[in-house]
Amino acid sequence: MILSRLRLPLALSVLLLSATLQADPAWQSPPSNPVILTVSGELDCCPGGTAYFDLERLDALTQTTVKTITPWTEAEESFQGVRLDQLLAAMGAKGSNLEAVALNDYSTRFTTQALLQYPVILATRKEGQVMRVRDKGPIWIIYPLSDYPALRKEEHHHAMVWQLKALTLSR
Amino acid sequence: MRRLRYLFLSLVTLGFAIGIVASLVNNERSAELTATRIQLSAWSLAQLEHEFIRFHTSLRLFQAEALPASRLQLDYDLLWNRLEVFLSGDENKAIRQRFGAEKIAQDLLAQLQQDEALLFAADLQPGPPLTDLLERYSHYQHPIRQLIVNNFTGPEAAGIVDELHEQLVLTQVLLLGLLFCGGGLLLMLFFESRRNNFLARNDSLSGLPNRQSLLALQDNSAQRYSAIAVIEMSNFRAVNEHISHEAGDQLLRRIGSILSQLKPQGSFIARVGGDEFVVTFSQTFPPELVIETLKALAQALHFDFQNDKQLFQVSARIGVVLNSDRVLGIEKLYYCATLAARELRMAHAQGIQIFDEEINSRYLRSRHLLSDLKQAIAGKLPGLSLHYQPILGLKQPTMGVETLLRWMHPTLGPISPLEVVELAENNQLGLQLGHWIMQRLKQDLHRLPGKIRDQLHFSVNLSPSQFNLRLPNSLSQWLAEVPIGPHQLLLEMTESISVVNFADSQSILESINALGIDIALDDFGTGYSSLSYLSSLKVQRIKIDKSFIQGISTDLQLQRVVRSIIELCHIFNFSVICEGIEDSADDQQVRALGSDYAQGYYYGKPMALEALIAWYGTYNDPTMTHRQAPETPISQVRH
Repeated sequence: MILSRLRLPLALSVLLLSATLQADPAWQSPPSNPVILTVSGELDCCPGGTAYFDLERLDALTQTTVKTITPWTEAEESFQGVRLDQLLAAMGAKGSNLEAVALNDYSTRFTTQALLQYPVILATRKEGQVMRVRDKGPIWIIYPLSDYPALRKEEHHHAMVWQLKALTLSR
Repeated sequence: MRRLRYLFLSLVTLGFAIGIVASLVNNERSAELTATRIQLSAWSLAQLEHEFIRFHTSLRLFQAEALPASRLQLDYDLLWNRLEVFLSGDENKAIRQRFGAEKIAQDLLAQLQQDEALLFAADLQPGPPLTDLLERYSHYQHPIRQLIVNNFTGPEAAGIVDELHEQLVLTQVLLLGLLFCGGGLLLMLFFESRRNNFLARNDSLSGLPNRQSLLALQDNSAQRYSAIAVIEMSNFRAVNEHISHEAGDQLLRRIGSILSQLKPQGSFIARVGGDEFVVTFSQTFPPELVIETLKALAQALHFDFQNDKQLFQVSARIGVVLNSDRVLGIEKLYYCATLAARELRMAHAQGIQIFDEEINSRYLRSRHLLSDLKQAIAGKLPGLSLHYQPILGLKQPTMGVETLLRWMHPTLGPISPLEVVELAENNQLGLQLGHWIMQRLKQDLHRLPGKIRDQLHFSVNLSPSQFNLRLPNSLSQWLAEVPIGPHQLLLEMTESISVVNFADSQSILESINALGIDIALDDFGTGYSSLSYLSSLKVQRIKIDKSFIQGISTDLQLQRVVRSIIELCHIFNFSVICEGIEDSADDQQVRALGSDYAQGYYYGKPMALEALIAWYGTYNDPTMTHRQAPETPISQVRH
């Protein structure tokens, strides 16, 4: 399978990228702009256990584009955002279980297994435009469903949380 | 092999059962999943209501100055997004289409869009415009609530759930039905297979094990038997042919049940042929009891079988071999028992015959002789010849000879003509032997000097297989090739030959007579014929058996009997031949009693053709003392 062949180079590139993406200790203090994402858990970057991100901070990280169709959209659309595995690596996050909470208090749990294998992104832009709340912004967890049919499962659909506001990591 | 088959069957059954159970479970799960789908719809609607109420509450709180505008706008956006999600995508399609949900959502979204400008104005303040707004959105509260209510209570909703349950039950019933059918099929298969097994091993009519089962016993070579008996039913074939096959079957069933009832402990009884049964006696069975048991069996198997018109007496021939030293295996034992039964069959007897070595040697001898006889008839083995015994005319100076078969076997010596004929008759060689005799007689007739030949009559014995509708034809053909006339040929036949098929025999005899050939009834007095039979029989001569002649010169009673027989025959217009005359006293007696012809060692024993020619010469020599003077027997030609 293509995936398994890609796994090693993927892991290597992540390592490489994380070397370039240095953990910014600034993340542990809230930014000047409104916070759009709060990450809690065992984080190397933030001994306090919490990292704060605004759009600027997320934009500073390497952006990835994913073109995909979703169960809630009619056609394929392109989404841009930072790769979740890269963000976790950048924070030095420990743990393989995630809990995502949305602005409407929707929450769900999922593991890091899929996002470590596939390019799952925290999408902040759709077709180059920043996503408003009514467009499922500010952050929508996007799984590359079009490119990887293996991800088309209810388990991953539930993890595609829109209007994301917080992520909590645990072992 | 059978184990393997059962194993396979069990595996198939197991697979079937597992399949059924898996289907049942799967079916339940899919029903659950369907219910879950309903839950997803419930989730959608619940989320819709939740976000609507949240927005509505935010409006009221903002109006009451208890909430910042940003929060209101957030909730506005959340509701907007929720409505958009609700109105698009497959997930909510079914929900949209029920109870006017789509319309409500569309109206609400439209309303939101209308109020966007107002709610996102930079200087948004609680006040009268918002009161109207609130009023407008309050109108949506009830419809949205109703959506949920309608979807999850009420007849339609209930109907869906009930239908699901019914479907579940139906599918389970169907699957159970399948299971029962499958089980039933398997059961049928099992019984069918058992029945087939039984049929393969048992005879369906008598209910006894069949030949296959007996053969299976042979495989168990360790098993030893104290005795084996072969039972042959006499008259079974007659029942089958003369009554009907149904009657034959009935008889068979009866025999089968008798045998099953009287079966000794540890014994095995099988039907191995049309009317043949085998009984084995286990090795612990006392030999003394074997004969007793068989006697009881023979008695039980001796009964009258009757249908509407005909009565047949059925009886058994039992050949038994006692395996006293337990050496012989079942195949050998069966062979010996069969031979013993054969002895009885050959002798046309019933009862019990115990096998001994003599039976075996007799059988082997007859087998040996049979193959040699075939060779002899074909001319490949020497030894077969014809001898001739004189028959004197007592009232007229006529002379005849009886043609007799002689076989000098190269190693076994002289074989009695009776044995030869019996051997031929029992082994479908009768016709060939008869043909051989006629051909050899033809040759001898050609070798006989004309003077002698023209004076003689020639008697030939007929065998049962020769006596058929083709006989007159073959005789006339034969006559065409020989230098004698039909009046010189005399056919001798025993009573039993013509009795077998009386209707045909009349026409055969008439045809033979029509050719000019006379017929003599041989061995008279020893058969079963009646007087009426005699009177209607188309023969010309009667030959009185030698048992009536031996010692006649001294036995007064015998004299009276023979006299009466001769008189009776003369009344019926038969001429009489007496055979067995051994001395001059017999000769005198026989003449006195009125016999027309005489035959015996006194006149001449059976001799080869050359000897006959010589004998005839001396007999007719006028220098020799005439035959009529009884004091000078021709002692030279005596045995």
